[in-house]
Amino acid sequence: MTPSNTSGSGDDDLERLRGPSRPEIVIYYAPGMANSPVLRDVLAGLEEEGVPANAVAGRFGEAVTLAALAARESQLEVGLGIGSDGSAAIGHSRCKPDVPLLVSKGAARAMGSNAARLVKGIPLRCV
Amino acid sequence: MQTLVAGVDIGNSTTEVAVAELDFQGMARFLGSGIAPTIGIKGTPQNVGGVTRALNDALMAVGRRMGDLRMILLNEATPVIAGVAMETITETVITESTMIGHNPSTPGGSGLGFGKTLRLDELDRASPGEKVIALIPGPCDFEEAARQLNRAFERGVDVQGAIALKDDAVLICNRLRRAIPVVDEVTLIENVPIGMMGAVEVAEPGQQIRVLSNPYGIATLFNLSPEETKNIVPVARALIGNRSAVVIKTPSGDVKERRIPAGKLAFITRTGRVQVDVQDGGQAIMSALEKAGPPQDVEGEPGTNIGGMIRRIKGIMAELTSQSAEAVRIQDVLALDTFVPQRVRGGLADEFFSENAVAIGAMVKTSRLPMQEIARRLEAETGVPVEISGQEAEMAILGALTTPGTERPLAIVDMGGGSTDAALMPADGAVRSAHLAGAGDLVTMLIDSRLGLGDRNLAEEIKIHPLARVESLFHIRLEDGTVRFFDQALPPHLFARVILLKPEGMAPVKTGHSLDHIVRVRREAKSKVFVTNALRALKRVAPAGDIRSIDFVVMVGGSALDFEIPSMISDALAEYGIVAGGGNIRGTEGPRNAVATGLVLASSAGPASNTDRDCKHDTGNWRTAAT
Repeated sequence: MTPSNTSGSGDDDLERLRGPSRPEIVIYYAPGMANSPVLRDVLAGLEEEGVPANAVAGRFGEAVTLAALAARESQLEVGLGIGSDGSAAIGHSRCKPDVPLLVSKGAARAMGSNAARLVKGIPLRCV
Repeated sequence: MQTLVAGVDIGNSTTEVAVAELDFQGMARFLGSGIAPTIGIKGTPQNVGGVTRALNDALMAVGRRMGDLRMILLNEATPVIAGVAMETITETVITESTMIGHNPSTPGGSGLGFGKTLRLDELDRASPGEKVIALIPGPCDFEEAARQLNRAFERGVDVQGAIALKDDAVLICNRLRRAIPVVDEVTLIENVPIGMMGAVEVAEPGQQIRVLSNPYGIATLFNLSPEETKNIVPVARALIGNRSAVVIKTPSGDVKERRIPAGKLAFITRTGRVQVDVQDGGQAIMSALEKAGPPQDVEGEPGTNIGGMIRRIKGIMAELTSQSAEAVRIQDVLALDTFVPQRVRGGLADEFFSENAVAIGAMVKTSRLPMQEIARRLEAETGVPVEISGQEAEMAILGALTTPGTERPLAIVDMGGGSTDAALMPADGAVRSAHLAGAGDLVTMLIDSRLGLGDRNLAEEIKIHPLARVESLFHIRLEDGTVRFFDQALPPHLFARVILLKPEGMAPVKTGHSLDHIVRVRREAKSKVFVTNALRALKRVAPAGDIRSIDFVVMVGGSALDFEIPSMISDALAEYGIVAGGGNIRGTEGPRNAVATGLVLASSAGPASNTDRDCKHDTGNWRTAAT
């Protein structure tokens, strides 16, 4: 650490290091999915597991791309994408953007659980 | 002139072949080996198919054909067949109380609640101030459930806790005005009695329940008499270590651990009959057997568990050997104490209790196997003369002696699937051999039952493959703590699971058991069966039963290929000052091919008892010289 960092501006530096967001799973949902049952169920799955999450409106409609972007934004390295077709995808920041960990349609609650479980380090539910 | 010969050993699970050239002096030069799964039960004519396959494999590898063979040597196989069975000797029945002792991954809230059980849709009937435990049925959404509970709170109903079918506990708790403990994922919620006094306890994250796992805690809540407190002990015991639990008192019945009349086992020896009660456990059975000496037959008391067990084993053996069950004589048993997880009668979420059980392996010597018939068919199929020569034990020792670093007197421990056999070749004199019940199959059964798998194949895989745990998407931790990293993400279904490291890849072990627990069970099963039996078998063949008089022990057979059994036995035998280790037949074959190699050596050197040997490793070939 340089001397300037230990003086008055240290707190600001620390703040910058912490980054813009809390440790939480980021969810990007496709336009028009803000009030969808899929998003509600995904959030319920995350809440039941006790992992904080933040849902943000995305610009694309494709779950896999949204998940990859969300994962890169997430401090927990895990992101969720909710597509305009109602499918949900889980991405990991260290995986290739076009290769999601899991994709599913119709198992939104379990997808929320599984994203949380990836962070918690416990076995996933069957999707 | 060189003569091409092949030794063939038909084992319980594999058929092994050694191909060698005998030169004009009768010296054998080994060319190669072959192996194939044994087809059919050992000692039956179906075996011929496996023999020709193993022969063709071996010959092809060294550029020869069946027509080049001058002689096929077949051993007089020991007609030993083994069977295994297991019986629980305790049973726990809970009828006075109902308990839910499962550990949902995410219970809600924390603390202890006590009240009358009531369905969610009947909460309206509860009067203000009444203490209740709410039952939330399956179809009910978490938001709706929270709404109804909050409404009850508003009316002044003292809802003390809740039980839910779905995995909703945290979601419900987060929406309640008051913090109450909620246990979820109770699959049989419709069986929870209504209108009874019940207790719900959820511990803080990382903690264990304290009240419902304590008999006096339950006694205090339910105001139990000393007699009733005694009866509740199995319930409290079953709940120890849980993060959440439910106990509900129902009006009548009893709870107890009871001993099932297991019956008596009788060892029939030349001098008489020694009886032992199976309830006394495996250790008592084994010490009774030791006192009795090698039995001529073993009987189970008719109409009891052990009677059924022995009848079952004899039935299997009778079928295998196509003789009547009455003619089957059990010559050895290995009885071991173990635990079996049994579903609790009276539980509501698939709770299990560990019950005491006895596992028994039994060994039967049948009448002489029809080797002549096999030889005749093999001769017809291959066009090569077949000779039946040599006892299995003797041949195995001859083969084992080709392990570098060994010399007579030498003992072998042959660890197969059904039986553990030992043979000793003294410095002079005849080979002594013993066949004992209990080997790989018994280990598999112990692993299967201890872990409650109900899957013999999975138990077999746990037995033979090392384990690891997937720690993240990109790394796994092996049994010994070392870590392996991967460039690509591992498949999500493996994530955070205990996995088997199979040669063809990783496979998840889908049980709730930790890696440490599975490893402990696996090692214990192997040690219980193989260390016990290695010592028993060596004692039988050692002069005057003194194991210390043996200098060298070579382990052969399929289980000697195991990644930990040989070291367990080496370790146990080191205490007796014995050099013991996995065989390395001809310095190249590992613990395999001992009998096939022995057959070739015996034929090359005349009578085995006059054999002298001369080992040259510099050429990589084995030579033997006739005296």
